[in-house]
Amino acid sequence: MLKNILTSFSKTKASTLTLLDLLDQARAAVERAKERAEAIRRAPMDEAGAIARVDAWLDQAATSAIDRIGLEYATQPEWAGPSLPMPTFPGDTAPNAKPGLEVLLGLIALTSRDHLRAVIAGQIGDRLAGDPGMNSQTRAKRLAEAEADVLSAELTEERLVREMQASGLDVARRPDVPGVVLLAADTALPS
Amino acid sequence: MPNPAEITLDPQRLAALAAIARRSRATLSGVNDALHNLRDAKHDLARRLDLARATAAQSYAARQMIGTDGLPKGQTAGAFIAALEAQMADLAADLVVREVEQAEASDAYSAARANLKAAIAHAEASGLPMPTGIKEAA
Repeated sequence: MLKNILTSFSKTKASTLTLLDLLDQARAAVERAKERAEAIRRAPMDEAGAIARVDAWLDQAATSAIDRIGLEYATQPEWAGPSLPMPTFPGDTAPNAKPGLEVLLGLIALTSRDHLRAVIAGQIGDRLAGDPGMNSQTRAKRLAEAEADVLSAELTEERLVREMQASGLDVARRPDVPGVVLLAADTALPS
Repeated sequence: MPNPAEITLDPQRLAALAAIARRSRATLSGVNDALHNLRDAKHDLARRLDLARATAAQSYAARQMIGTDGLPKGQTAGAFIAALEAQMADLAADLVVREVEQAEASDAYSAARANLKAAIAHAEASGLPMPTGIKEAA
């Protein structure tokens, strides 16, 4: 596609309208490449990756709850059982229930981990609805390819803009052209 | 597939982009001045038109011609007012065109400035030499 644009450009330098059409095509190619990259960024994670994140959260919530509830003070003679953290901050009239609720959630994660994990795994499966999702390595690889496509399309667009400006046409660049494209030497642009 | 790290950079591009930014700023400034002048002219014309209408409403003699305030000698009030109204319509049309030009010039300047800023940021991150007077144009 990009090669076709440049081939057409070299054949039709005389026609301003054609040049503007080619620039429109180059810009459309940039947009499409950006959309592909964005679709990869937004693609859902695969089930194994999502479950691994849930496991990490369950670990963190359970550990944090145990750390905060202070059960180790059961060794102290005056210990009378744990209490949920419900601090009242300066200026507040009622205690803040959030820390206490987080501890409760952590204790549920600790004591009912397998059941909770199974429920969440079912929800993840329902949400993916047969979509295999994308693991981190695949996403990184495909994103690198998509970003290279974007850069390639932007370099093609830049070449058209420079040639048009050199031939006296008053053509403006997009405001979001990246610095590397703007500074690219003429020899680094596709021919 | 191009790799951003492998693209050869040309510091001279900074000067080219700064020139575009300066040129587009000058264009915008020119369009702004022209628009300002047109608005002044429209304001003056509106005053003349108000005065002519007021004078014409004062007396039969004034309506018929004449060298009273606001009306040129030898021309009927109706013809004079019609001429002023035609000028006003032309000015209003010119203003619409100039306002479109101003919006386009403003967009072009914003884009050129954003391009120059992006290029300066990338040049600094890449350790390219910065020609004098480039940052002032951004």
